[in-house]
Amino acid sequence: MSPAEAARAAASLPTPGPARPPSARPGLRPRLSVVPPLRGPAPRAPFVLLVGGLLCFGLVALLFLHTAIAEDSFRLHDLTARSTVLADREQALDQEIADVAAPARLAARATALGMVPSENPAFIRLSDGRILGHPQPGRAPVVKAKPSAQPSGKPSAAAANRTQRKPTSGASSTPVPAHR
Amino acid sequence: MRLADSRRRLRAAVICLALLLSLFGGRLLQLQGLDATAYATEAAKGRMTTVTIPATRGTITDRNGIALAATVDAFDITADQTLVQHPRATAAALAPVLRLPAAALEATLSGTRRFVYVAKGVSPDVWRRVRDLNLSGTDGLPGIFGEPTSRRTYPAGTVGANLVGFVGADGHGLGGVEYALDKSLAGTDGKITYERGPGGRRIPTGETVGRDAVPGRDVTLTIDRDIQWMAQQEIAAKVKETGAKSGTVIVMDPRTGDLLAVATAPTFDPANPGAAPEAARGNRALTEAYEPGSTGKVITASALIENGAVTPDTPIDVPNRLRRAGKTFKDFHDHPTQKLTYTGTLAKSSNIGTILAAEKLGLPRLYPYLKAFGVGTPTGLGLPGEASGAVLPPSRWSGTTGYTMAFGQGYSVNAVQMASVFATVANDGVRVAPRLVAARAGADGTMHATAPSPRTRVIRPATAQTVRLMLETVLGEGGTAPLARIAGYRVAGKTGTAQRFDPTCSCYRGFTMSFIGLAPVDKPRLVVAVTLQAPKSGIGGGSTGGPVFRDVMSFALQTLHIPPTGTRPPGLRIERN
Repeated sequence: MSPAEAARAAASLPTPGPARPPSARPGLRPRLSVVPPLRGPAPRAPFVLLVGGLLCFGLVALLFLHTAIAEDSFRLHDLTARSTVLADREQALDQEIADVAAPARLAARATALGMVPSENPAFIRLSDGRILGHPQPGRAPVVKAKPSAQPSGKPSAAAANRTQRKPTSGASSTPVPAHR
Repeated sequence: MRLADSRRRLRAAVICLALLLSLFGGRLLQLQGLDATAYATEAAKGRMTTVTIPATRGTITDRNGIALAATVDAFDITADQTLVQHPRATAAALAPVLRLPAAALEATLSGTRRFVYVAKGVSPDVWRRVRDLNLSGTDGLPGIFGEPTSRRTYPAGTVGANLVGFVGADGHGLGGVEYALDKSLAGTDGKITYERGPGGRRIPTGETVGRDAVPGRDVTLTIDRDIQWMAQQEIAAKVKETGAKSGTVIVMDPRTGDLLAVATAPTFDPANPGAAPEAARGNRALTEAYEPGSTGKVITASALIENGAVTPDTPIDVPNRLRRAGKTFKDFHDHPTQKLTYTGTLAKSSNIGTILAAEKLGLPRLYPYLKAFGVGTPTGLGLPGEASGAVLPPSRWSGTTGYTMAFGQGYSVNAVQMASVFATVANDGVRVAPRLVAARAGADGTMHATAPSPRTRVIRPATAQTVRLMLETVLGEGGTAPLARIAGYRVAGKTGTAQRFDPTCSCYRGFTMSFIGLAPVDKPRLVVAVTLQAPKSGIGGGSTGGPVFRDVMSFALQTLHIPPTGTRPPGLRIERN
C-alpha cells in the first residue's frame, strides 16, 4: 500500500454516508488526517516471568512430590520397623502367657499354694440346689503315685495348706456341712 | 590458493565430523538397539534384589484353640570370619547375649570362611540386642549378621508331643500330625523382587514384582490340652512306678469318636526330638499292636447277648481247669469250682467261664463281631506308622485259636481300636470311627469343621445297655477292679491282664495290663483306656490300670462338667448260692 492509497483509505473511512468509489469523482482530493500511531511490540517481561514462574512452580511441585514420596518411603520404613518390633514383642508376650498358663506350671503353683487335686467330682444343680456326686474334702496326696523324695517338703506343704485354709475357713464353713 | 585451501580444510573438517558422528550414531544404535536388553538386565541386577518370603506354617491347636504347635519369627546369627577383626572381643561381647561359652564362639569366629552359623533360631529380641552391641568405635559388630527365619515352637511342651509330632531342620514335619498334614500346614513360599537404593531401602517409584507367600493352613485337633496333660502325668507316673516298658491312656467321646487325649509314656520334647530314642517319638497308641486279653471279653459278651446265647443271669459252673483242643486252659488265679452267673464270669474275668459261655453260640460266630468292632481295620486317623492289628478268619484257625479269641488272646489290636470297642458299647452299639482333626482352615483361613465320623451299628441298643450293666459289676463287690471306682458316679469297665507277645524272642513274655472303662453307665459320655506294656510289678490290670483310670476319668468328668446321673445300679448277681 502506497502512502497515497493509505491516506485515501484512511480518509474515506471516517466519512459518513454511502461510500463512493474513488474513481467516481476523480477530481476530488481526499481529506487527510493523522494516522494513529502503530502499537509498539508487546512488552517481553511478563511473558518471561510467566514462563519462568510456571517452570519454577513445576520444578517446586515436582520437588515437593518427590520429597513427599521419599518421606512416605522413609515413614513406611520406620513404621515397618516399629511394627516388626511390636509384633516381636507381642509374640514374646504370647509365649510368656503360654508358659505361665501351661498345665504343668499351674499345677506346680497350685501345689505350692497347698491345693490338692479333687478326687471326687461333684456339682450343685442351680435349679433345685441339689448336690450331685459325693464331694469330699481334699486330702494331701500322700498315697499319690509320686513318692516325695525329701521328707522336709511334706511338713512345709502341710503348713502351707493350713495357713492357706485358715483365713478362708470362716467364710467357707457354712456351705461345707450343707454338702453332707 | 588461500581460498581453495580453506575450502578444502572445511571439507575435511566436515568429513571428519560426519565420520565421528556416524561412529557415535553406530555406537548409539549398538547400545540402545542391539545390546539394550543385556545392559538393562545388568543394570537392573545391580539395583534389583530378590527376597524369599517364607510361608508361615499353620498352627496346630487343641479343641479350645490353645496352640500345641506354632511358628514364631526367629533369626539365624551368621558370621563372615574375614570381616571379624577381633574374634576374642566379639566373642566376649556375644557370649552373654547368646548364652554361649565365649571360647566356643571365638573358635566359630576365627578363620577365613565367609559364612558360618553362630547361633540358629534365636528370638528377634536376642537378635536386636546383638545388633545393638558394639566394639569400641564401631557401629555394631563387624562381620556378624542376622538372617530372618522362623522357628517351630511347642508352647505346651511335651503335652501331646507324640500326637502333634515334630519338624526337622528344614521345617517339614517328621512325626505325628506335623507329618501327616505337612502339605497343608507348610503353605507355599513367595518371593518379591524390587529395586533398592544403596541403603537397602526400597526405591518408591521402582519396579516391584513378586508373588505373595501362601500361608500354611491351621489345624484344630479334638484333643483337650488339660485332659491330655493329666493323662500324660498319670501314665508317666504309673510307668515309672511299675517299671513298665511303655504305657498309653486314651480318652474318647463315644458319641462323636473324638479323641480327647492320646497319652503315651515315655514321651519326648518336640523342641528337641533328637534327644529321645526313636521309639519314644512315635505314637504307641497306634504303632503298637498287642493282644488285648480280658478286655476283649466285651466283644464276646456283646456277641453272646446280641444272639441270645446267654443272659446276664445264665448259670455257669467254672472248674479250675478246662481241657479243649489238646490244651488245658486256666484262670488267672486257682480256685475251686465256682458257681457263677455269666455276669460273674465277666466280673471275675474267668477265661474258662467265657469259653463255656462262648461255646453256647459257637466260636466261629465271634469272628464277624471282632471285625465289626473294628479289630484288624485301620482306625483311619491317618497318622504315620499305624499297626492295625490282625485277626484270623475261622478258616485259618488252629485248634485253640477260637477258644483263646473268646478271652482276648490270639488276635491283636492297637490301643485306639480297643478304646473304640468300648466306645461302641458306650454309644448304644453304634460304632463312630475315632477322629483326631476337628477342623481345618480353608484357603481363606477360616476354619471348617471336618465331616463327622462314619457311624455303623454293631449291636442293638438293648444289648449295649445290658453289656454295660454287666461291666458295672467289674468295679463292684467281688469284681476285679474296685480301685477304679469314682464316688458318686456309675462306672463300668473291664480289666485285662494279657500274656504279651514279645517280638524280640518271638515268645510270650511278661504281661499287657489294661483297664478300659466308661462313665456314666446309664448315659455314657467318656471312655478311658489305660494300657501298660510289660510292667515289672503289679498283679493285674485292675490294680495297675484302675487307679490311673480313676484319676484321669475324674479329671475329665470335672473338666467337661459331666455330672453324675444319680441313678442306682440294678445289682446284677455274679454268684449263685
